[in-house]
Amino acid sequence: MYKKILIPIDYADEASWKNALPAAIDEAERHGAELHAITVVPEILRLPNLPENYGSGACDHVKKTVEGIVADNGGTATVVAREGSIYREILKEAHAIGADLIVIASPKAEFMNELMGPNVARVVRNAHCSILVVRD
Amino acid sequence: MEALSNIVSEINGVVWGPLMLALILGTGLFLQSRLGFMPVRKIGYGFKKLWAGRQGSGEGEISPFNALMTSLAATIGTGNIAGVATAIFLGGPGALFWMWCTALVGMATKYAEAVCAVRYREVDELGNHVGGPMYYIKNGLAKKWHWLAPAFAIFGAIAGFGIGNTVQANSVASVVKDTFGVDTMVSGVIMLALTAAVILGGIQRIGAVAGKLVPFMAIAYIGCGIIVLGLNIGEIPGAIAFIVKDAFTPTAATGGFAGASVWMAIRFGVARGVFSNEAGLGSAPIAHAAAETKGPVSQGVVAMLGTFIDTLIVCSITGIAIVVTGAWSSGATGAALTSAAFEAALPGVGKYMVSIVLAIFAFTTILGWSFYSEKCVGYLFGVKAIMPFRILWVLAVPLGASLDLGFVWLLADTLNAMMAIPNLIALLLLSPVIVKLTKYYFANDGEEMPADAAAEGSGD
Repeated sequence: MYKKILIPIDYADEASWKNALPAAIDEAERHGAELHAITVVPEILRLPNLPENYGSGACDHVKKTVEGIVADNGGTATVVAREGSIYREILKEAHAIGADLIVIASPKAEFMNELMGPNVARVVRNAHCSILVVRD
Repeated sequence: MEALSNIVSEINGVVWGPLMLALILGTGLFLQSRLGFMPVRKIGYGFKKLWAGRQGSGEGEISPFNALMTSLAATIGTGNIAGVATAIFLGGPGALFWMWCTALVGMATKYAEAVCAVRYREVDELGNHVGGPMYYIKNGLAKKWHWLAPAFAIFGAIAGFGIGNTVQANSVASVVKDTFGVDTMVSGVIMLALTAAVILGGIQRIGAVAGKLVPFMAIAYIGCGIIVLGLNIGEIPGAIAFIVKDAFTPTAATGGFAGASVWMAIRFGVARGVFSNEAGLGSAPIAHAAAETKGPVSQGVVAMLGTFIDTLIVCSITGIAIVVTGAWSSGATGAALTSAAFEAALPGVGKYMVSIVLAIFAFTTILGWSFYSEKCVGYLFGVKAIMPFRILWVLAVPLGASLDLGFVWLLADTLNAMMAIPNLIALLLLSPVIVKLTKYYFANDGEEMPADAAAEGSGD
């Protein structure tokens, strides 16, 4: 039923993929779908006192990290790394690849008693396709 | 407000007492002697290296022109223009002599900071190099000293609001009011808007443009300064003699000058010298760690040159100009004093030049220092604290613009001292490693010591 699945992964937070990645890999296998992963680097401020190409290697570096995470979980995915606003890049990528399912983790939030973090909420509210929210 | 000002004044008097002076000058002197006065002996070598251009360890060479410009841009700022002026206003012309002393020993301190910053830097989750006192304490010292790292981070985060924010805004607001009659609050709000645009709005173009202007501003300021000195060339030897004599004798009150003891000349000379070249503060190593560089000693040489250029060349130009034009006893202080000196020699031009140059420097410093303080905040509280920090940073700008000039400088001094203490202690403890890396480099014709070999014998 699903042909293209997108999973957003936070390169620095295990909670974003601990349960969601196995779930995404499982869904991909079950439907014979392509698995795509996206990770977003918050915009790096290139201030005047920093070297000229400061942060230019960040996307590549982070992409490798996430490729490693996917491989460790026994999956194969096309990984992309983007820089910018987290939820916006996720939505853009989902739209760009024509995803029909987004698998996203929503672990128990630490801060306040919210059910869903702001990025997850924005993705859920605005995505063009179905979403699978994976809880702990 | 009056009460707060008095409290800060009292604390400052205690903090910048003989102990702090001994720590700052003493550390520098100690490092100089342990290094065999290399920072002074190898100035020529440093300039030659700079001129020959640096090679990035990743991609691309930096041309000699760019290398020099980056160096200039990094070191020249509000301290060279307004800081010197406040030092002379409070301590008399003799304060400049003590600024020179601070720089001579500070070259070793700065060198040491950069060496440690690169030697003990880490790679963060984005693949960027991160380093600075927190990292060289954590990675270079034994566990019992690790408390120095959060201590530094706390003071560094707070101190930025002084030297890197309020003082900058204040200097611009005061000189713009003096030259163009614009109200300080207006200047403050404009700077707030520009700063917010860059660090909150991500409109990096503004910062990039300002950054590109800095080298030209530096050249314009130095050029103008040389002209001012040239116009008064006959009086320069006398002025220098006066400065040196005044460093050791109390300065009588004259004109608008309130009079100063020798102690005040020393205290403000050292404090504002440190403000200007940042040697010992621990802020510069945070940027040095991020640099593309062949190694610790290469970066150290660049850093020590910066101190030399900053204080012994540019501050001297400002200071001598202030003394030689007689403006030093006019009663003006801060950027307005420098402005008056330049205006006296170059009527109609001096004032505007100083105001515009200072505005660009101060703005880029506000942006640049946000990086240092942000790294400290990130070290303590993690990535989540950065946005709230940036908001506070932006709000502090108009506050700095409207506060009393004397008060913001004193506050900045006090915070600088607190920030310097853990950093200087760490450098003293790491001096064996620094000496080892230095010896290897110069014995092996500029080849850096391999990291694992340098690991033995770290201070404890």
